[in-house]
Amino acid sequence: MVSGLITQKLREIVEDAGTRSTIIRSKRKALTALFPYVTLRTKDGEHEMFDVFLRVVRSSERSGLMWFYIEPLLSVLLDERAPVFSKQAAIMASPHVPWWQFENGGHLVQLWAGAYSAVPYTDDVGQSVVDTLLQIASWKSPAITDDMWLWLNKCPDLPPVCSGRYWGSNHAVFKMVRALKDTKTLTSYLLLIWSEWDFLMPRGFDEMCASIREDFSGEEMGRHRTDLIRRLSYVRRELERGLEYIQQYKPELKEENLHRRRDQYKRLQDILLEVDNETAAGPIGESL
Amino acid sequence: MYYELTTQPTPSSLISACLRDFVSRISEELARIDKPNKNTTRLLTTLSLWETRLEIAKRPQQFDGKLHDAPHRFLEAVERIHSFGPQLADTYLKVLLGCIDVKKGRVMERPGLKQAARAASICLLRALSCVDWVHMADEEVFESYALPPNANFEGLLCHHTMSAIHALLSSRKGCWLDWADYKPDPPEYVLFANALDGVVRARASLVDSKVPRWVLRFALHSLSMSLSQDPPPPASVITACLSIIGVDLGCDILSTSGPISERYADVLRCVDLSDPETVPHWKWFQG
Repeated sequence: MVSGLITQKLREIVEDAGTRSTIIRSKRKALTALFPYVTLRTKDGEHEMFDVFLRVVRSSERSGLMWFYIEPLLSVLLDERAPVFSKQAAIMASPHVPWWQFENGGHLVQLWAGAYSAVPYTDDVGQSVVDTLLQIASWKSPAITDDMWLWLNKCPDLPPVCSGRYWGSNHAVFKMVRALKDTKTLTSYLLLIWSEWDFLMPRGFDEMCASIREDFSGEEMGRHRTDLIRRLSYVRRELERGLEYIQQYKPELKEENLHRRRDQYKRLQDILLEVDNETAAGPIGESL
Repeated sequence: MYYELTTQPTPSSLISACLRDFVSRISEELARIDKPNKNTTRLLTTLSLWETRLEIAKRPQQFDGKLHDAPHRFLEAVERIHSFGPQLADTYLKVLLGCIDVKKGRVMERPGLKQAARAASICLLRALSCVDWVHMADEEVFESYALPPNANFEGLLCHHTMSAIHALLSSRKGCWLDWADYKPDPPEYVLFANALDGVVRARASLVDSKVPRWVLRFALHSLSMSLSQDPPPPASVITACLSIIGVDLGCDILSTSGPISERYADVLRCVDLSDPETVPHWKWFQG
């Protein structure tokens, strides 16, 4: 009864785009206190309250919860001996956690790294893991191991508002993925990072331009180039839908930002097509 | 340890018997004090009045003679009292002040009165839910509260309860209560959580009705315990915490004070009933 009222209230908050941010900010202490309970509800497979709760947290970006207070609980949820439902809840919440702010952040990342593989894979889990992985990588956490990057190959759909995708375009992250010398993973990374919803960080963008020439030339890379060119065509088409379309998730975006974004993706596609044209197999771009 | 009843007593006889027992115990302990202070004298006066009132309220049914664990018994009895009036808050405050001494801001229980202070403090917290928070100036309890703003309750048996009362009654703003080590026995936990929930509901009609952040951190602490390796809190504590959160979120919680089993309904599903520690407190009364 009480939890039903709370679930209803959470739904009202998330659906009222006009006042959502203000309400969430003023209620963040209560939302923080609610986190363990919504997690507990998933124990018996009741995910409705947790899902609505996550929508609230997601829509608030980083101001939704007072994660400082939840840090000790995250350690409990991600502990090796913890049940799967609690690991899963922590994994699902992990993209919204400001890991770098925690005093004990390194240890928590290690627990996270040990926990995610214990959770059954779903699209939502994959999305959360990849989103978090890209964020953690952007502050060069030593807890990240090479095998974690294989999750990129699952290519989950990342949501329009996704911190991992933005921070993941950082040159440091790109270098980490490139250093694996695994073209499949590098391609997956680019397919995830390139999106109409986000601008690419300048140094990361420069690295990508260089990488296309160095890593994706040659006949044997044709399949990867095809995938990348298709992705870029899609992103550019979406960007042509105009400012209003992008603003539904990025209300702060201005026309000049949209132009910069279009320029970035056009430049990447041009380079890919040039590389493609230089190969003996002939241009892929013409067939797209 | 909880008492067993051979016959089902009426709540009033149970409460009456427990209160009389409690009162007589405190009176005995107070009488043993060598140098009574001003508060102790006030307390004795209050108690004798109180005892008289309880005698009047006495019902023909006699409470079973197996009672032996006074503090727990008393707390359980208090749990069942529904007719807490604001005047009781002042009475309990007097009881409480009689049980403690303050030296340089440090609050200590008077010798032999640890349990009495503990019981009186939890009763006071409970009674604060009946106080008119909108017209605080008219309430005696706010006038009578005399502890200094910087009062230190560390080391008290009831230091969390005292800290909560202090945060509510003193003029100090933005206080910090540390809940990390708060793991009381189930009866006290239930009473404490329900009392806080009651106070939060009572304050909900205030113009600036934000739930104090230390109360929300209590809810976070208690709900987090239900996920940790420690024994989880009783289900009714979880309900009280949800109610507190609901009030702060602006849910229409005040209309949900119906049958207690209904309020528990959605909590019970996620609590392991095979574990006696998590069984809702009202189950104990149902035998």
